[in-house]
Amino acid sequence: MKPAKAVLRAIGIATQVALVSFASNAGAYEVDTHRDMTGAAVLKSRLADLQLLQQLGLKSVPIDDLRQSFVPSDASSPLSIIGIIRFGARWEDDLSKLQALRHFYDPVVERALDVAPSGTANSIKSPDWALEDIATYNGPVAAQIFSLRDARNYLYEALTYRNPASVADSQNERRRKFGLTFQTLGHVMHHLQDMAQPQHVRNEPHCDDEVSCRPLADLLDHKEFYAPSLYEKYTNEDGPGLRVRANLPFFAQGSDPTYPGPLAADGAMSPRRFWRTSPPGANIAAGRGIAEYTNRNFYSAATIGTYPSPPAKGLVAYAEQATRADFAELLPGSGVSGTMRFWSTDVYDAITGETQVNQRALSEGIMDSDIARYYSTTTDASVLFALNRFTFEAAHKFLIPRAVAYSAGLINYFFRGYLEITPPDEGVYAIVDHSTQESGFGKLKLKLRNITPGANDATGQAQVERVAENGSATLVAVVKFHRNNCYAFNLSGEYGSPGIAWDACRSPAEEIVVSTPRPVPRGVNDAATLVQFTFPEEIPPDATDIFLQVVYRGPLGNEADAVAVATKDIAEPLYLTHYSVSDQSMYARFPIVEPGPYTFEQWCLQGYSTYDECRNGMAVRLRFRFGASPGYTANPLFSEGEWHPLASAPPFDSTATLSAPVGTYARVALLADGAPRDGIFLWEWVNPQYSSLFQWNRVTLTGNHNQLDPDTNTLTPSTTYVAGRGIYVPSASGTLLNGGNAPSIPPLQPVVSQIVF
Amino acid sequence: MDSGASAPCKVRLSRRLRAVAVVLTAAVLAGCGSPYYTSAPIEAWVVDAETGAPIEGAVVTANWQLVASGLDTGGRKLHQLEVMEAVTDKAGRFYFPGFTRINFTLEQLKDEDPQILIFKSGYRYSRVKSDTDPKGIHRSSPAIGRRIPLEKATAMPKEIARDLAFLATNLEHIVDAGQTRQIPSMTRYLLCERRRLKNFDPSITLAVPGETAKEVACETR
Repeated sequence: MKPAKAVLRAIGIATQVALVSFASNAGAYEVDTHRDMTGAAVLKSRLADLQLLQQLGLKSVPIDDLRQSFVPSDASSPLSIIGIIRFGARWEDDLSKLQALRHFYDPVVERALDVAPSGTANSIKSPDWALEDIATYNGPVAAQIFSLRDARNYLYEALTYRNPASVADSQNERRRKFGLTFQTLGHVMHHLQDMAQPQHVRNEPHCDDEVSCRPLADLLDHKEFYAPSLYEKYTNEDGPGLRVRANLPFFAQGSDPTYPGPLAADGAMSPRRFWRTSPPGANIAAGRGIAEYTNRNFYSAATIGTYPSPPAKGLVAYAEQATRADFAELLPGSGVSGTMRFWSTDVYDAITGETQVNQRALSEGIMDSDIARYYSTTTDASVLFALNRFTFEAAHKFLIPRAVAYSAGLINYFFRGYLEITPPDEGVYAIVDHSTQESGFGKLKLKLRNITPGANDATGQAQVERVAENGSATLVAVVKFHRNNCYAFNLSGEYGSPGIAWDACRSPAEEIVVSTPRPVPRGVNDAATLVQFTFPEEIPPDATDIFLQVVYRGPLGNEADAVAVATKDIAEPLYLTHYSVSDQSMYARFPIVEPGPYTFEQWCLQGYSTYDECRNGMAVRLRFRFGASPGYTANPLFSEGEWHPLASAPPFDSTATLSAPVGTYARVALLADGAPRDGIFLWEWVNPQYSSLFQWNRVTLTGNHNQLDPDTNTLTPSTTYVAGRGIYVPSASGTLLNGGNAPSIPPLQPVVSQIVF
Repeated sequence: MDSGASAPCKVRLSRRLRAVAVVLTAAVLAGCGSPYYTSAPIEAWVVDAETGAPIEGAVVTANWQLVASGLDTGGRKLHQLEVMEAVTDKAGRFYFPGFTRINFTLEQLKDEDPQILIFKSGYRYSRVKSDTDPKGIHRSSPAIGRRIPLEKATAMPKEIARDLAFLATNLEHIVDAGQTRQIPSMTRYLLCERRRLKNFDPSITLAVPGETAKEVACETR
């Protein structure tokens, strides 16, 4: 019996504990290298584009700006977006001693770290752990909370979490979940970077711990148990003298994100394809995944010739096929003389379809401290070939840009879901009567289109990556807002009303209301499609700084569970008031409408049987719609701005009808788009004593914007209000309300508006 | 084979007992830091690499990095034994007093005993640490008594910012350990440098360790 087995039997289960401890030492790139690769990847990704932050509903500030900061999971100081992603890349190694057991993946054998005698019992394949797409890990030893699956959940909650009992908790939790989303992406990116380290894809542990690994290696006669990675140590060098890490080709050719691009070219994209694209068990020679690329193209210290690719080099190769480099070139200024021999390999990149030659894939065994520690040059032919700083530098030129490219691609992939919101045909997202009862917006309509970029079809036409229209996905609308605490039903508390200072009224906390989840309507992949949302808790009329979001959760392309989001900065509640103020003036005898000695009521009763009949007959009714109106806007049958017989008016599909007999007003509140919107005002004069008439006018709806500028901390109300007859109206029409010479002008009385929406 | 000859924890037991000891060491201790460390005083001078002239006003940080054993290559860097900061005088001199500190962790000092980082606007940063992993309780820096040259930063602003990102990475372990307050000048210098560089190129991105939302006052050059 071998001594190692005897020892194992003697110490039983404790050995398993020790082996776990040992294996956890099998590291990856050092954490500083991970942080720098991650930082470069973030800068290469869509996150560096402020448009993505807007899409997510975040502030459009640079990703290193602490005005948008998040507390990492270790509860240390808040970090910027790039800071917390870098933190995640570091924390993936540091959070647990066992992490490295999940940082290996051999695509040839399709296995996790496999180390005798425990084999893969304590290990998990890197993509299984990082994605949690096949299994989830919630055990006492292997508890995963930073997988891509977790990131999706964090993102969804960052967008939708609401605690009805606490605005502060809701806001804090959403921000925390955004932080976790970014941090978790750093954790997953760490894995892709590990896959660009040959030892991690060629089942070569590289523990450097002298306390547990080295004695265990000696004891069990498993030399691989203690084999510090010179590759990783060299890669992380940052002085004095030797600055390797700072000169790594993070931004070199090949570092552009792999997604979107060839990785998804055949339309079969899924997160796992970042690791491998060939079916499990299949030959990886043409695989586009980073694990396949690294495994087939690069040797690691203890796997020279042990995998199908790169090819084994034998004694013949040693004798014949080599290039020589002078030490004066390799180590300038060192005074070392002589030459070193290098052997080349082909490096095939299935993403680009190109094959390049790595001139320094192997060197001869001289100065081979990475191997010589345990392999005798007299008994093992493989030690003829070695890896050293020169082969490492040659590998860096290929591997570092690809590590950055796949990491950046992952960010782009994760945030690829892209929806587009446009107003419904009515031209407004929501509308309610605001004359007689104070209510918020309980129903919201919009048009939604999936514009997530997908692969090209057979004709080369760009397609969208499709969301599920079959009921397996959900949509919710989210409205984010602050409150105007000075709001009053008569609009006296509006920003822009007399005596109202926005900074004394605006609530600092951001709130959200979330609609009832609903299925995805058919057609959203092909055209802007009408979607209606209902809100159990209404969008309040005192909302300001409003952003409208639609959040999709469900299959996206081949990804079984994705989150896609659209965010639109829409206008704040806008109030349209229609009123009739003929009773403010004195008139001549009925039916002359010129100045005279009679009040309006006296004038009415000279010609009408009742005052109410007169009040109704002397007022016009307003109907409107902010959208296409056949018969009016296109090829109008009647000239604009003139009165025509009402009986001949083309049909008009109005959104609201505001009837305001003299001495009354009707008011609606609406949520408009941020962009101006053309529409029609249709005025109807229905008077039994005269001919009933109509007139139409083109109008442009311009949203009401009361939004804080975070850069200047200013808010400039887009509308100013004046008081008149008990209500507040925009200043432009205020003079009408406050004019006239009647001796007694009572407050206007409200009349309910008719809404068809 | 002598398993512990160069290891910080030297074990001289029979092979079988050694196995048990190893298991216990690995599973229970999982580290072997000294209960205390001492550091020699560090006095050195920062000079211009080209002219040899002393550089005044360079900020210098020194952090004695504790490393948890049994983890990744390079170890887990979770705590600092000590963090200090100084600014060079007219002669380019900086000085860190010697000390003895109790190590409350099971972690050990390795080659960053200390890591010395030097920065001055207009120059590339410099880093000094031990070449290998020294052993023992008593530590001293290879910087002691040396003239440390700084090369002028002649690259475009974006390249300078990218270079400073590596300095930031080296500093992040201090921040990770919650000891940002001990490097206020370095944080401020880097924030000011970022502001200066962004004046040339607003697209520059540089995450500065220890930055807070509070505005910093910068001298104009």
